Amino acid sequence: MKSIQVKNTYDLQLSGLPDTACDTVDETDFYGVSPSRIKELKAKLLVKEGQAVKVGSCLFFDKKNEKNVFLSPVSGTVEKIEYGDRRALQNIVIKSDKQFQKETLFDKQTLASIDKLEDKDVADLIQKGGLWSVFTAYPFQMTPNSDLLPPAIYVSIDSDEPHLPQSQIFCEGEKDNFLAGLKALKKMTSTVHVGVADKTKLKETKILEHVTHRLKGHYPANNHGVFLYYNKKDASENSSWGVSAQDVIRIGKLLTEGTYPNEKVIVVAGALVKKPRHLKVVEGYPVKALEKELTKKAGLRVVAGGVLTGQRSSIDSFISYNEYAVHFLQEGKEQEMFTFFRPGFDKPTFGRTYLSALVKKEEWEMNTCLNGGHRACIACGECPKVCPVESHPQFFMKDLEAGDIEKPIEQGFLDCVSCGICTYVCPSKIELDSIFYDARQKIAKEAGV
Amino acid sequence: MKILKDIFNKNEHYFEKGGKYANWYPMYEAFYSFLFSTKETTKTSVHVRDSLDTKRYMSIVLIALTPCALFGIFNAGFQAHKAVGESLDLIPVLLTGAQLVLPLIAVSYIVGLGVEFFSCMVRGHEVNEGFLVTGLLYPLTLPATMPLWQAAVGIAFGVVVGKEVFGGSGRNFLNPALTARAFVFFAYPAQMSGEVWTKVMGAKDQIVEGWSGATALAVAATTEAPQKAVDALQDAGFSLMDSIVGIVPGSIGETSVVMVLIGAFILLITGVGSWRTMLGSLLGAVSISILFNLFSGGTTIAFFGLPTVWQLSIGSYAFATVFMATDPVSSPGLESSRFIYGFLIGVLGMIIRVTNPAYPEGWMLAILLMNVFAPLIDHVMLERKSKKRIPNVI
Amino acid sequence: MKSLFKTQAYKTFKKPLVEANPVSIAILGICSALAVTTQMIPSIVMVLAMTTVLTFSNITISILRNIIPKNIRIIVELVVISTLVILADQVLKAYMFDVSKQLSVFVGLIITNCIIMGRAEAFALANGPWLSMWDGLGNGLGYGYILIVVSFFRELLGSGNLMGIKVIPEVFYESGYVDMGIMLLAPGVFIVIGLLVWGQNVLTKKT
Repeated sequence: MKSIQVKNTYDLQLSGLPDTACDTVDETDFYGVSPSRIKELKAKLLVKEGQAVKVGSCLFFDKKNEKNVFLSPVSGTVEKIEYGDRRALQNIVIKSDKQFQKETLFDKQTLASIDKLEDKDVADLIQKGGLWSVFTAYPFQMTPNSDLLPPAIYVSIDSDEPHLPQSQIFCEGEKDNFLAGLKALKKMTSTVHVGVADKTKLKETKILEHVTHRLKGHYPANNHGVFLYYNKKDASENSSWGVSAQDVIRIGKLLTEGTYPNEKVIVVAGALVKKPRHLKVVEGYPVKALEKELTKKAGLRVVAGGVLTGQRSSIDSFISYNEYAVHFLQEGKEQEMFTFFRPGFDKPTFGRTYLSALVKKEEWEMNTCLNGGHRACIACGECPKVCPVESHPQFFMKDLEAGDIEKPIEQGFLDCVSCGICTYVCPSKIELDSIFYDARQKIAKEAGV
Repeated sequence: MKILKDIFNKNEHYFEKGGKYANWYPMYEAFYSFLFSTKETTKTSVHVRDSLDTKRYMSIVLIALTPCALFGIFNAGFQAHKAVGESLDLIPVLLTGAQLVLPLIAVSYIVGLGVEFFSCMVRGHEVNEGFLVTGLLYPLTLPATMPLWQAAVGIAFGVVVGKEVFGGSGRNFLNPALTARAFVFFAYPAQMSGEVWTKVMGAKDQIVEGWSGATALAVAATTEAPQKAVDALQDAGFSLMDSIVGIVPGSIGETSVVMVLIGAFILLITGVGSWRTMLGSLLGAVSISILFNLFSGGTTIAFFGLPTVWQLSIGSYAFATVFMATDPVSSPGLESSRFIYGFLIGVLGMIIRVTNPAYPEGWMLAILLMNVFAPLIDHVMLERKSKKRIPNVI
Repeated sequence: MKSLFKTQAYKTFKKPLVEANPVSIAILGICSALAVTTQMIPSIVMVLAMTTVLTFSNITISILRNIIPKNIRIIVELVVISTLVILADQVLKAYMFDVSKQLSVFVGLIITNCIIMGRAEAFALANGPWLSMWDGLGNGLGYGYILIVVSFFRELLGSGNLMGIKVIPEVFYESGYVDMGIMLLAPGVFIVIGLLVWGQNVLTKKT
C-alpha cells in the first residue's frame, strides 16, 4: 500500500461532528426527486402526474445521453411535477404507498457472473440501474460520456469534507456489496485505485485489503480528484473517473440484487441540529421531516451536501440523488461593532490574524455570514497556501477575469477539483469557486465534451 | 450602538440600487462596514467563510505602523527642540511633535479619502481598506517640515495615478504611498531633500551652535576618502545606538529601527507581511554592502567602506523593507518570487544609495522599480512551475 | 453648411483630431512632445512648423504617388520631407531666431517624427492631393493641440508662466507656493499625456 502526502490541506474544525449512531427515520407520505439539483443535467421527463411508479421505474433521463436514466426511489403515484424558472424540471413529488415494491431491472449477478461480463455490459447494467451519474469524469467533473471508458477509476473510501458519512458506518455489513461494486469497476477499466484516509476508522479487513493508497492530510486529501492529481504518472490519466465508496456499495447492491438501491446513509449535521448523527434514509426523503431534529426553525440555511461543496437547498426540498448530507446552519449572524479591531478569540480563521490562532479549540461553530465585503484581490497569497493541487487560484481568477483561458489551462487550471477551500479563505470574499465553475463549463463546451 | 445600527439599516433603501442616493452607496457602505460587521451572507456553495477580511488584514498593518508613528511624533518634536536648545522633557517634546506630525497625517487621510470616495462613487465600487494603510504610510515617509499643501498634492497624485487609474486597490501595480512620495520628491525637491528634516522653530540665530540638520546619509555620502565614513559620522554626532533607537533627523516614521522591528514582529507573527520579502531584502542589502566594503579600497567614495550594521540602521532601509516592500498588491503574487523580489530590492536600493550622489536614499526608487518588474518575476516563476506539472490540457 | 460637414475632405480632416489622434490614440510623436513642451511658445512654433511640413509633404507625395517606384519610395519620401524641413528651419532662423535657438535640433528632427512618415505611407500614397492636404492638416492640428495642452500645463505648473509671462502672482510664492519641478522633467510629459489619454478615453467611452 502506497502512501500519499497531500500538501496544503486544512481542517476547518467545523462544529457538529456527527455521532457514530446510525438511526432509521420514520416513513413519510411524500418523497421527491429533484433533477435541478443534479449538475449539468438537462432532464427529459418520462412520467405524468397521477401515474403509478415502482422503485426503479424510469422518471426522466439526460437529454445529452439517453442511456443515463434516473429511477424512482419509492413506489406509489406521481403526485405533482414542479417546474422552476424557464420550465426547468424542479421536483417530482411521489406519494408513497409504503410498500417499496421493486421493479426488477435485470437478472441478479454474482461475483462470478460479473467477472464474465464485458466492460460495455457492466456499463450498460449500471446505466440501466440509474447509477451512471455517481461517476465524476475528470477533468471537467461531469457525468461521463458512456462511450468512452476511463484510463483509471479512483475510489475514495473516506470523505473529510465537513461533514459527510463516515466510512465505518456506511460500510457496516456492506462488504459483499462493496466487493461486487469494485469488481464491476475493475471490469470497466484496467486500473482501479482505492484510497483510504490515514486516520480511517474503517475496520472491515475485507475492504481494507483492496485499498491501494493511504491519503494523508486534512480536507480535501480524500477527494478523488486530489487522489488522481497526486497519483497520476502522465497526462493520459487526466480523464480518469472518480467515485465515492458509498456509491461503489450501491453499484454492488444494484448488480447483486437487480433492483434499484434506494437506501443510503446520510449525515444530518450543523450547528442547529440537536443531535448531529448518521441516518439511514430512502433517497428522496423530505428535508421537512427532519425539522424535529432542529433547535430552531427560523433563520436557517439548509445545505445539501458538505458545507463547502454542497448546494444551497431549502426546508421543502428532498434528499437528492448525489447527496449524502444535510446541514442546518445559522443564516448570517448578529452584527457587531468594530470587528476588525477586536482580539477575536472566537473567530475561526486559517491564518494568524485573530487571536483565535492561540486558542486550541476542538471545533468552531460557523454560520453563513460572509464575514467581510466583496473587494478586489489584494494578492494576500492565502489561496495558494490551501490549494491541494498546488496551483494558484488568484492568478487563474485574474486571467479568467481578463478573458484568458489558455494561460490558466497551461498552469494547471484543469487540475482544480473544486474543493472550495480557496473561496473559504479569501479575505476579499471573491467567489473563486463559481468563477472556476463557469470557466470549466466554458472550456468543456469549447472542447465539445 | 443599537440605535446607530438601526439608523443605518433604516436608511439603507436610499442607497441601494434604484434608491434616491444610489450613487452614494460606496460612502454608505464604507461607513457602515467600518462600524459594523457585514450582514451579507454567502449565496451558493462554500457556505461558510473564514473570519479574515481585508479590513482586518489592513488594520493589522495599521497596528504594526503605530509604534513607528508614535515614535515619529516624539522624534519630530525632539529634533525640533534640540535644534533650538529647548527643553527635552517628554511632554513638551511630544506636544511639539504632535503639532508637526498630526496635521500631515490628517491631510493625508482627508485628501486621500476624498479622492478615493470620489472615484469609488464614479465607478460604483466599494471603498477599499487599502487606503487606511496608504494614508498613514505616506506621511511617515515625509519630513516633518513638509508644507501641508504639498503633502496634499502628493497624496492626491498617489491615489489617482498610483491606484485609481488602474481600477482601485488590488489592481494597481505601484505602491500608492511610494508613488505619492516619489511625486513630491521630484516635484518639490527643495522641500524633500537637503536639510529639511527638522523644523526650526524661531529665528536662525536661535540655532544651537554645532547643530546641523543633515542626516547620517548625507554625511556619509559626502565623506571623501581617505577619511572613513564611520569617523565622519561620529564626528557629525551620529552614534550607532542613536541611529538604531532613532533619535536622528530623518523622515517622520523611518528613523527608529527598534520601532520598525516591533512592527515587523507584528506583521510576521500574524502572517500579514511576507517574511520572504523581508529576508530577501535583508540578504540583498547585506551582501551588496559587504561587496562594497571589499571594493572600498579602490575608490574615493568613503560611503563604500561603511560597515553593514551602519548601512542597515541609518536611513530608511528598515522602514522600507518592512512596510513598503511587503505591500502585497504591488509585490509578486507567488511566495517564491517574493524572495527574489525582496533580494533585488535590497541590492538595487543599496546600489542607488551608495553610488548615486543625486539621490540621498535608494529604497523608494528600488521598490518602485521592482514593483514594475513584479509581474515579470511572477511570469517566470509560473512558467517554471507549470513545466514541473503533469500537463492537463485539451 | 450642412453639406460641408458631410464631405470626404471634412471627414478626413476631423478624424485625426480626436478619434484617431496621432498622439493620444496612436501614441506617435512622443519624442518631440518630450523635448519642446516645457514652454508654450516653442511648442506653438513647433506645431506650426510640423503642420506645415506635414501638409506639404502629404500634398507632394500624393501628387508624386503614381510615379514613385515602389522599391525606393521611402527614400523619395525622405527627400521630400527633408527638403521641407530644411525650408522650415531656414524660415525660422530668418524670422524667429530666438525661438529657433530654443528649439535647436528639434526642428531638424521633425524629419524623424513618425507621424509624417506614417501619414505619407498610410494616407498620401493611396489618396489624392486634396484629401491628403486635409489629412496632413488634421494630423498636424491633432498633434498640435495635444502639444499645446501639454505645454500649457507644464509651463503653468512647472514655472508659473504662460507664454513666458508670469501668471501666478508673487503673493502665492510669498505664502509658500512652490513650482512643481517634476513638470520640467521628462516624466512630467508622460504624466500629463497619460492623464490626457485617460481623460479622452473616459469622455469618448473607449475604456
